[in-house]
Amino acid sequence: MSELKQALLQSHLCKYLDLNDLDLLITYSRTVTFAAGKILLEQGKQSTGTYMIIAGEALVTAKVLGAGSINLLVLDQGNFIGEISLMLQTPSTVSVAAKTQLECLFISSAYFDMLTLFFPAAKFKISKAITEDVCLRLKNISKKITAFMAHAQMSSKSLFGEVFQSLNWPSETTLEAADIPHEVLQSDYFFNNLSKEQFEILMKHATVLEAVNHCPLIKEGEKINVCYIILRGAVQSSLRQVNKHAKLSVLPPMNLFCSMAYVDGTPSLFEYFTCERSILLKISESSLEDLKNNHIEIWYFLYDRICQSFAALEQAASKLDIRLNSELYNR
Amino acid sequence: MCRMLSYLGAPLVVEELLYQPDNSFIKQTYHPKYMHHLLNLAGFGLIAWDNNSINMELPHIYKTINLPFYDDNLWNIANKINPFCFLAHIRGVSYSENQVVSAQNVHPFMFRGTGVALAHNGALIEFEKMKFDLLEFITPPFQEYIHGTTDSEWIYAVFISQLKMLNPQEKYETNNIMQAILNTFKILQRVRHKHNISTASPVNLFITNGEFIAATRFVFDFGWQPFDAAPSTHFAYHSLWYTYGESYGYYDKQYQMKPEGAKKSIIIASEPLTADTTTWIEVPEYTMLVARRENDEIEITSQDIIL
Repeated sequence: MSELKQALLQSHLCKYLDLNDLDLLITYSRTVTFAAGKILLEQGKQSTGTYMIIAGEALVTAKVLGAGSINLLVLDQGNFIGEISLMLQTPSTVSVAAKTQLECLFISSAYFDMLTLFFPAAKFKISKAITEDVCLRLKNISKKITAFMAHAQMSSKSLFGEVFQSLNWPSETTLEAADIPHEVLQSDYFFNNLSKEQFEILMKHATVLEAVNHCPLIKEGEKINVCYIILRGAVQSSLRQVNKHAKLSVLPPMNLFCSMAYVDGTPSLFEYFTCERSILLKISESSLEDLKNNHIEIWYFLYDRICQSFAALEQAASKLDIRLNSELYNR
Repeated sequence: MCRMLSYLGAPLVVEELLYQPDNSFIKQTYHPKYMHHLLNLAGFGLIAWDNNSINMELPHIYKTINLPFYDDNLWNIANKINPFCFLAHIRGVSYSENQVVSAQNVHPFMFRGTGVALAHNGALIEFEKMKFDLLEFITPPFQEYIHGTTDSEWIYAVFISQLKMLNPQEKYETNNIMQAILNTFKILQRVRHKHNISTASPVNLFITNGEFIAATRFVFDFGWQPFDAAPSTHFAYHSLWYTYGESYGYYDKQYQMKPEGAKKSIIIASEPLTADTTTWIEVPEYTMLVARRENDEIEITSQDIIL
């Protein structure tokens, strides 16, 4: 067994990959070594793939407005680098340099795309490992932000506001009643990767919901395995510290979101509520399970978007962290 | 869709922002990076407060329907004035015979005697149905000052009517500015409801009086547009960014805010002035910002817009 394979077998990634997947990964990836101080990823530039650290440490830094270049964290064995670029095809929000001699497995975007087409099961496993890493980082940033919020003189939501919001519930409706043409929805770019038949199966597993503005969908601390697709309107994700709220992101139509519980089994750190009246597709835990067991391609399609949604949240949390240090927010 | 640029801080030659950076304001007029369409140019306006000018409380105002990249007068003025605060706007309109391209429709708007200017990036869908219902929210002297045909000038008239006019020695409080913006949005929302208008309509506003800059990133009924509608930039959120630092200039081989030093200057713009956005912060959706100078430093206050 090669040294690389042995090293990978001890990594977090191998919790999910079997030996065949591992061979595939080793065939199509390459190991790269960086001397201490060498830059792997530059802030503002898009990575052509993701690096998984096999040995050594990497330092994550960011040029922050008003604070210059600051050290954010140290990554080590099993951690991913450049995962946001890979998932979202956007420039990196941080720079990463080797802190010590660093050995990484480089998984290129091209390989990832190839997996989508030919080995979706292997792609799912790698995505799961990356997304768990993303969730871990999200938790760390969120902890930092809520600690800041605890001492910041931010305005709090009134008890009346809390009660009023908790009384809003989405109600079931139909696409016809919501004036959404079935065939137009199917041809939307969001569902492009699904065949007509797969789209129909997905729709049979989903419930169409109508929600008024400020309607809670996923509450902080909830451990529910449902996912939502926004068809019309918008949904806001927020971080909460007692009754103080900080906006993380606003999701426009044709976006999917779900609780963190669905990725790593932990309670949701964030709350999601409508910030416009909205029409949503809700896919329940049992429907997700049925899709996973009987319509795996549709489930891979959904899981891909779940991974992207957490990568986008990590990006949004980093932006909020910077803003809280630059602005007097919601004072 | 329009483009906007504002600045508050250490006096700066306007040309440095309008022409020099790799995504300068003038370059955005023919090659905007954050828009899928080209701007259909319908005018350029600039309002600037300069300590060295006579009657310094009155800003320089330059408005033209000429194309800014062919405008020699603009280049000459931009190289000459050195303001501590300015707001520039490029008007973009749809290709339609209904559009009125005239100097009266060029932003920023500033009614005489108010000292407060406003520019708008966005469009209120079905505005023709709304506008006369807005009259009751516009105080009488301002009703007569509306000379143009744009929704933006009416938004300005509503806003300025919600803002308590001050004596020359008084200053606007951040809370008062934010409240006047919120009141304006609530009025527009009420009138939209009255006419059953529920199609997404973006309202990114820039407001300044030389002492503060307020900016909003907001869309009424975001996420609601007819499924059969032709693609339009107005159904999406328009971008809004800012950067701050000691002074803006050519540092470390690129245009950016000086990385170290006090927070003395701020640029708020529709899009970053450089391709490298690492020193820029994107303002989130449903947000308003007020930047002002406090003890020679820029203080930035932001608030979620919840109507």
